[in-house]
Amino acid sequence: MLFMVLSGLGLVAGVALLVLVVLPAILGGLKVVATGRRLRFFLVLSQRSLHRNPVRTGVTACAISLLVAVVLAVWVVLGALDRSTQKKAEDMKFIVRARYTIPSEMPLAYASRLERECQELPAGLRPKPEDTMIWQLYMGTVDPVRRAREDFVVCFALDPPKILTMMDNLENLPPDEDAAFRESVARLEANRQGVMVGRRRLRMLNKQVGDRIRITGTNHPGIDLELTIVGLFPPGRYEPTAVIHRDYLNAALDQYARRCGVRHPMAERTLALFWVRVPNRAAAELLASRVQDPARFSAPPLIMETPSSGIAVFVEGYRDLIWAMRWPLVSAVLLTMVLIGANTVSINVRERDTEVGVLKALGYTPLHVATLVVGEAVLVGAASGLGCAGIFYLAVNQYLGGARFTEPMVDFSQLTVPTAALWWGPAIGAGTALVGSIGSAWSACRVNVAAVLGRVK
Amino acid sequence: MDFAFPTQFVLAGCVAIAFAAVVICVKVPFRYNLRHLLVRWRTTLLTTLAFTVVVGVQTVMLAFVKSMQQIVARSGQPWNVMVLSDGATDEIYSNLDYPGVRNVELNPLVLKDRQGVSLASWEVYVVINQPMVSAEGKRNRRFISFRGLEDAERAAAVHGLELLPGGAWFSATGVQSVAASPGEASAIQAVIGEGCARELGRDRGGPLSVGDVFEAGPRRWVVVGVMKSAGTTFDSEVWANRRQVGQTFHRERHTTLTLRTADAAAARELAGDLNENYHESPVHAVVESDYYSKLNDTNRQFLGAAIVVTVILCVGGAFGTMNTMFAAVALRRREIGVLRILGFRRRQILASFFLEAVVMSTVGGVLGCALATLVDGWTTTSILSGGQGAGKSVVLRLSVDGNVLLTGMLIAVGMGTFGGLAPAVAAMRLRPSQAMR
Repeated sequence: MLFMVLSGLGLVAGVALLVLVVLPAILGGLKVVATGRRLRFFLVLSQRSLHRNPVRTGVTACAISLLVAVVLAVWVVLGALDRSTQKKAEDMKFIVRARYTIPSEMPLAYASRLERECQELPAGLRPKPEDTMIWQLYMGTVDPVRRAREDFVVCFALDPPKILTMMDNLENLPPDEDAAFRESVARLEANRQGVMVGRRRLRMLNKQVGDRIRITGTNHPGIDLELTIVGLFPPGRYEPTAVIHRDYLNAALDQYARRCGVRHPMAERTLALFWVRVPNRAAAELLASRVQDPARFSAPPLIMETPSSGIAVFVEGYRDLIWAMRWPLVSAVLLTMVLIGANTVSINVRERDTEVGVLKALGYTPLHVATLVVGEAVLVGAASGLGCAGIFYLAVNQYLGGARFTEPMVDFSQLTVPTAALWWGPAIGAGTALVGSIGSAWSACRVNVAAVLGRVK
Repeated sequence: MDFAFPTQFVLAGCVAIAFAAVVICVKVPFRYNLRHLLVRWRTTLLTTLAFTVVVGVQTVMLAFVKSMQQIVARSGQPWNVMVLSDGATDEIYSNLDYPGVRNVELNPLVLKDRQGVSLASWEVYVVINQPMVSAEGKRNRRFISFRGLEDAERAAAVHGLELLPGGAWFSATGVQSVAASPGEASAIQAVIGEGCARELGRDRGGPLSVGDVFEAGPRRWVVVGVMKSAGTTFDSEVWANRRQVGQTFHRERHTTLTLRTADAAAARELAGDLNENYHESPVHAVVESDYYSKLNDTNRQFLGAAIVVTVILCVGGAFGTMNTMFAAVALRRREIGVLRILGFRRRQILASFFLEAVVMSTVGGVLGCALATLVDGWTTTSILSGGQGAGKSVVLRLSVDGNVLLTGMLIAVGMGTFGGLAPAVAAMRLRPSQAMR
């Protein structure tokens, strides 16, 4: 909370500084290098106008920048969601999951059958053995009494070597991080009771590498796992993740059957996802036709889709909310910006009607006057938007290292502000200022010179 | 933030009394201020409109959060106990071992009906993701929650739900023929919540009603009844025969056993007793209202986001007011000087300009709240989650009630106060000689 308040104050102060100090300085510089007499005159007027009422200019800039921050935040989040759910033509990695039920639960026997389906594809279409991955999902809590959110752990149970070949965003790590990561994977492979965790998960658990944890199963009730933290995921996407050896989970399920005399109810539903990377589109289509054939897989029937489609399933639950953020919220904020801008410009024009009258008396056309009014508003809007976007960019990307989401299942672990925001911000500020100043510019054009100058004593 | 608590009423009362006291005790030249607002109608209009939009957006956001809170609060009965498998925190991950758990309903704390049968509902809960094609041919997906029941009428009695007129509970077999041609598979009989009926009928131009057929999973389902379930999570569910649901979605085991007790104290006693003393098969028993209150995690996240957006919008809106009021002070320096010469005190000038800002924000707030009431009753879908990897897809009915409107008004007055104070202080500090220059 304190960080947010300080960020807000920093944003406001930074933008005010930009609009009241930097922008007039830039205009002053342009004035020196400008060649046209009229252009130089406009620059002088704009520069003076910014300083005529510094409080008003500063307050307007702050209001615009705060509202730009809301729009940028919404766009950044929705942009990340859109990118995650967009199908990529070059994406040859697919997931196979239960066609209907959420969460996906399939019998473990499907794993070997799906592997066999892959190996039975014709040569040239067949995935390599390292291009498939089995995911079992084990969820539990390290504190079965408290069961708080921070005690909750989602573990992907898989074959450790597949972490290196099948998991995304782990390819181009810096050499030292890569070496540490590979060492962690090797330790997990060697220790069946090992667990690799993301750095944020480690902090939430308040543990260190080498510590032991006991997880009480929540989706596999009665299956409690004793694990040793053997290594960490590199910073980034896998911050909230935990990965365990699937042999250990399956051994625990077998042990349950021996202990209780019946198979664990999850034994028939422990397989969550089957990942496969195929060499080309033809292979994907052939494999999908086989996997989705009810004659081959019917209890439950399966679907093969890209990971982005899988994420879209999750996002679908929030469809109405996303729509509300994308359209009514953003529109309302933009409208507020237009109204605030319009109000400020109309006050400015009213105060400066004598100046406008003099300009017109000197031969400046209504178009010149309108350009002056709109230009000043657009300058303040653009500068406020740029300042906001710049501070937002630096605060989120450089200082925070990306905004963090605590959703353990989906890839929103780190969200950064795209460089494009550096032009979105000024564009939003300038655009709303342009719309907001049109009415006042029209009023300024229609200033009656005789009436205005008649008031001058 | 609990919207059901009358904090807002108390706060609103205090604010109203404070402003009334200022107007009466300080003897503000209020008519002068009102005339100024009317004379400078364009500025007043733009500022008020900005308030209207900001307050309108905030009120809708608060209504959304409140609807989420209401659905959580209304779904669970404090006298019901949910029995899940040991370790399971969510119905969706529960797998009850029927032979081991069947004696739970024999506990003497469980209420019995007139025939002496325990008021216990054996259920299987499944969520599916159904691909849909809209009337315009657009492909999308929809979450549908299914609750398979052994005995629908008993389940309704346990959960305190009833059917809308014209409907019936599903039969013992749970299927009926709706075949257009002989040999076509029969449809599964379903009783659906009102929200679910609206959601499933969205692409048909109206809610589903008795006799309508819809597709979900690999089967067709025929609506035999619609539940009076507004404001609960059951509103978003499809209820059908347990065996049919289990076979269709490959969930043969029960997920939940819901037990009715005499009152909240008995429910707590039963939950504690089952957790500690039931040894045939370990279970996790939880009072139903506690279970649903834990689904508030999503609400907390939305409330957090709503507060952040609200604060930013408020500060932005307050800056707008500040601008208007600083301009008003600058334009009326001489008038302020005249007022001072006429004997008006500094505190009267302060109160005068301050109230002018508050009036604008109040009018904007009233309009914004009026705008927000237009969304009252709108339905929207969302997910309730306990933050532990599961959740329930629900159909929410937005409720813009007195508490939400009052909160919106308080925010509006707060913005006016924050934005109007600095310019009012600036006006107060003007000396008559300085102002008349």
